[in-house]
Amino acid sequence: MISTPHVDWFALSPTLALLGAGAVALLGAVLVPRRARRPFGATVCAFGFVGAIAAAALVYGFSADAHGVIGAAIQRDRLGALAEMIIAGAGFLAVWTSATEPMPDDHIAEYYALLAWAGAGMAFLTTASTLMTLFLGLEWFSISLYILCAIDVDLVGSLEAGLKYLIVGGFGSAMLLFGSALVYGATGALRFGEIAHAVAAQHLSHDALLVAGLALVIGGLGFKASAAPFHMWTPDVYEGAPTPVTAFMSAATKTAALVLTLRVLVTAFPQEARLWTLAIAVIACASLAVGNLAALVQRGVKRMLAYSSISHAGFMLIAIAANNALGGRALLYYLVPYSAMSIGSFAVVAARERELNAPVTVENLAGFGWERPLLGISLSVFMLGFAGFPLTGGFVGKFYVFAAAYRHGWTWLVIVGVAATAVSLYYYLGVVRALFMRPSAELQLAPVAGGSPPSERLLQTAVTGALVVTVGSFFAVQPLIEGAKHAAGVLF
Amino acid sequence: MAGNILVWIVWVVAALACLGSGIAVITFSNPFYSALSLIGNLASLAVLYLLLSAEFVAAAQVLVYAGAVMVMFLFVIAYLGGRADAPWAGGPSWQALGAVAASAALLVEVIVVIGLKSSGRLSHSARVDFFYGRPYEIGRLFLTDHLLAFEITSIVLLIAAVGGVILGSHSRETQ
Repeated sequence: MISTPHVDWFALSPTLALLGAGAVALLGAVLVPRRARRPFGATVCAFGFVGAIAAAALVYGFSADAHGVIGAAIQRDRLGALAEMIIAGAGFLAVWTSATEPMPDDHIAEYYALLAWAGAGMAFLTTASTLMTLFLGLEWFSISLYILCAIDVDLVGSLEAGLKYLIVGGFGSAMLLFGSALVYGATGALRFGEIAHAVAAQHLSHDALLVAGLALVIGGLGFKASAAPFHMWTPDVYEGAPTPVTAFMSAATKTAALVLTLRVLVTAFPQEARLWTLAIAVIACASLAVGNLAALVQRGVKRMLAYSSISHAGFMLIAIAANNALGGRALLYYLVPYSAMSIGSFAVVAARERELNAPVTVENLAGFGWERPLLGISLSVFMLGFAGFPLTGGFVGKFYVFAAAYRHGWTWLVIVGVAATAVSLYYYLGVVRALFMRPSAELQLAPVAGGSPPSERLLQTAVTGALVVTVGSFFAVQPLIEGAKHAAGVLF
Repeated sequence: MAGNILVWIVWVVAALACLGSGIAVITFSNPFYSALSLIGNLASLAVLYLLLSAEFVAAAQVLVYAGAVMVMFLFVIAYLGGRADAPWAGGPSWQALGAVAASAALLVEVIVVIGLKSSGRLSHSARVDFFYGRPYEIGRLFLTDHLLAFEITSIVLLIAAVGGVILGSHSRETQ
């Protein structure tokens, strides 16, 4: 007689809400008339993300004691729940951003279904607590994103972006899988906790097989978090993919990958902490260097934001490298304003793209701030937030990250971070300058429609939402840090 | 002892066949030959599974991959025709050299790790009981320890199928 494990549906509820929403949105492709498909898909998808936020909030409230569920395949704890809330929030804003994206209507229902499913995969991934669920969660959202990147065939570069992401992402997954196999070979365990136990019991720390596996796992996760030197797909894919997809990817994928990196490193490899903290610190420095230096010379705003996202992966990896409670808190806090700023700025880029019907460069942003004050001011706030100015959550986030590295005793890492921030000012302020301090007369482009630019209430709502979170996270530091403290308290 | 040597010989042959056919898959410019090499790759992997006492997995590998999946591959190739760009058209670039150097470094690393550093632990084989690798045991694991992973796999496959339909219908419209 086989006794199946008890299934804790409540712990799975954020994932299930999104899976269900995706399924309903997909049914829209056959049951809903063509005209109504876009609003139907967007509404269902938005409700799915709201449902996921609510479910994750409930899980957060009722999971004060962390424990493994469903055969310990996933972990029900506040860390996962908080990450799910951030991911679902990012997805929610992404739905609003894509509501008026000029995409052909052929696959609009599938687009929203895949968006919800990608969110479901990420939500699942943040709770994964075995190497097997880790890999499956990663593939789940990656496959959804490969298709989302390639879905708009009319867009130049969309298909190319999807293929590039597929090949490089597949390589990253293979690396992760190979590393997992080596770790399993060394320890004979798949669950994170059991790996740590086996390492302690059999004195395997610094065992060559285990360390090689750990290195490959870090590399594989680095691909998903787009940290240097695993970043080469990022600029091309971010540039080629439809902008709302880019917005969702930049915020939610990073959240899922980084939270999972923190979880797997801290729970499965505590004995190798000396090795992986250094490795992560080096990857963080490389990301900061590559991201910031390459962003300096970019003219395309999407490419620039892609490199900026690489450098922010570096900042957040500093928090992971610190390997202390403050670092965990810093990472979870940083992800909130970062996700909002990232989605918000890509949404503004999407608005400008629709107006010009051309890729947005720093040059053709000229005067945009005066033409569309709401979007212009929002984009400026996001840029200042990325650079870490006060009155935005980016300031507090950077502050906490540096404090965590300092607590770990790594002053050099703080210095690298501060230097990177100083460099980043150049290109972030360059965008602000283009928005407000250059006359649009320099520009030889006119809005395609002629006359006044299209008013996009839905997109403006998304940008406003992102703006509120960016600024609000500065003023609501205390409750957010309190939440992050409970979440990171699971690990430290 | 003689059994051990036989196992060794089979292992070396299968491993080399696996590597060789894997390289062949990505070097042939004719996709039809690549697909045929993939059959060799999957078959030699099945032999490796047999050596690991995983008879059921080996049988499933041959039936599902070398059988069903490969037939589908060959159908697709037959549909699309065997044209492909020559992979080495540009001559060796510095990127290709870098890739070869990086993969060589990784290979050396793996050999050092598995061959030299872990020889103490990997030389004695694990104790395998009668139930190991039996369909019953695999099925039991699917329904107990790996229940969630098993179910999640079906979702991943479903999403991949939806994606295949989306991208496939795109290319039909453009033609």
